Amino acid sequence: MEAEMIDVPPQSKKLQKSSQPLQRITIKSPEHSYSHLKMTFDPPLDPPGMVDAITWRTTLTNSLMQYLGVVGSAIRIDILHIEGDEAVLRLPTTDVVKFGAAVSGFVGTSEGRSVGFKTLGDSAFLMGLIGRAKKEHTWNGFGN
Amino acid sequence: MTPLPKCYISVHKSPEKTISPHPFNHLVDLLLPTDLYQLISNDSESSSALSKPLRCYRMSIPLSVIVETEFLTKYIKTGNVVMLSKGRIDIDNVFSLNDGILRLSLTKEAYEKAGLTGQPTRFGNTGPKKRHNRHLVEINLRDPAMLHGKKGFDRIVWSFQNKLNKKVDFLFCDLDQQKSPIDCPILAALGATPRQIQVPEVTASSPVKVPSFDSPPGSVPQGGGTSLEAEYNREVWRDWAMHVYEWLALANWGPADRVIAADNIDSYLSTYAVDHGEYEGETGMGLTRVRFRGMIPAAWILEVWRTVEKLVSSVSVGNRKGWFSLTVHGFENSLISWDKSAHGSMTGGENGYTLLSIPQKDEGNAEAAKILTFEVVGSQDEHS
Repeated sequence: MEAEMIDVPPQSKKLQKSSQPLQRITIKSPEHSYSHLKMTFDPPLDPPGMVDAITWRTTLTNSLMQYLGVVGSAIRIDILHIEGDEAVLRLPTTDVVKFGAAVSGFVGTSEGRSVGFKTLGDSAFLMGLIGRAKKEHTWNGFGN
Repeated sequence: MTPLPKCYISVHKSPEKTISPHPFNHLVDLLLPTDLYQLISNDSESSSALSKPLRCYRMSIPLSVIVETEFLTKYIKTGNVVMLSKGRIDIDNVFSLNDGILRLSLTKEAYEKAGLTGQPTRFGNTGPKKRHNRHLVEINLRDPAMLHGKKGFDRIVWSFQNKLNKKVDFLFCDLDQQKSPIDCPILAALGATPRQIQVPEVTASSPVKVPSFDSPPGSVPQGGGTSLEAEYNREVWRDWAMHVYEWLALANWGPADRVIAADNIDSYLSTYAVDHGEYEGETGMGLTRVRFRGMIPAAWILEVWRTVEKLVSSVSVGNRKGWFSLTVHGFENSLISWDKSAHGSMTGGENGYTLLSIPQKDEGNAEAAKILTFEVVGSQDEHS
């Protein structure tokens, strides 16, 4: 069969003027997905402190173990950023659904406190999470 | 299965075509090397287009205010404004106004009460039995028939005064205010609280690792046929582009812990690594993020891009011109994303774009800078 190439999308006249043609691709199923989580404590941490990476790792592993057993603990999670009691995580897109269910239903204990997660956002693209994390600021901060 | 969000990556797409049709923006991040920022910061602050005051407003008004003669004439018929109401698209009643077109995304109950003509919305109608739960009413207020005294218009006014008469929180930005930045009595009477947009939050970071902005040799975004080798080359380009995009997001995030040059986390906790680029050197590179918030008009964003582009083209850091990127986040609850593409939210209503200007080594070429455009839309969006 003659291979039909879909090299260059149809161009408007304006574009043809520029020497370089427009090239465009679509990413539909990226390798990774991202999740922005907050670790919640009851009673709350006083003062609200930093949760370190080791605590995140062990608590996440616990939650995945509890919900999915050994299969769950094998999900590869990268801790990309930690800010106070919030963290930005990267995980394989294929495990997103399992992961979401595991963390949302998790209740554990740590040093006499019960621990849980609050999902602040998740997206297949990390950039999407930034806009969502900051949306509330747009409505506040008026009057100056 | 729920539809997936998408990312469109374009090379050589004109920035204007991405920026201008995207009316509802709430966060703009300009990211560039600190060295470069220091060279251009004085000039960019004094640049005429960016130094004029630009305000957006928050106000709590009923819809009927929009169709009052004074407001209608000043801001819609002769002027141009963007407005967006607070609320969750797919759940609440959400109203938006841009280019004279008022869009109302209404729940079933509100739609039936309002008695205005609309159509089922493109998204948010996935309830049981696929009934049409939400409707979209589009009114072009610039239409010559949209005047007090005309039947159709009076019907709309009646509906706004008697049915959709609850006060709604709106964000408002006048697109013409750069020409005449005088305080407006109409807005003052409505109790609108202003917010300056052009005062940015500038954050300089400690040195971070920077990836290579040159695609791997041989890799191409498109073309090459169906052979295995061509498939491989496209795959390599895709991976590179996504890596750069992921890195840009991490760098915009503060920057995130993992891109900081001094970071040495155990691979048990994270396996993320930046692909080394030629920018990096031994110690990494300091970055500056300039962040604008508010209801930001697209025309102003384009002005920012052009100003920076012009300033950057006249300076060079080291042996190469500098790179810079601009990221814009759209409102999650806007009714449209780009142009007239319907927009919904469901699991995530992200709609935004990132432009990255990559200087080329070839100095002889006038069109040396290459622009990489990343456009992201959530699962519920018509933009393509």
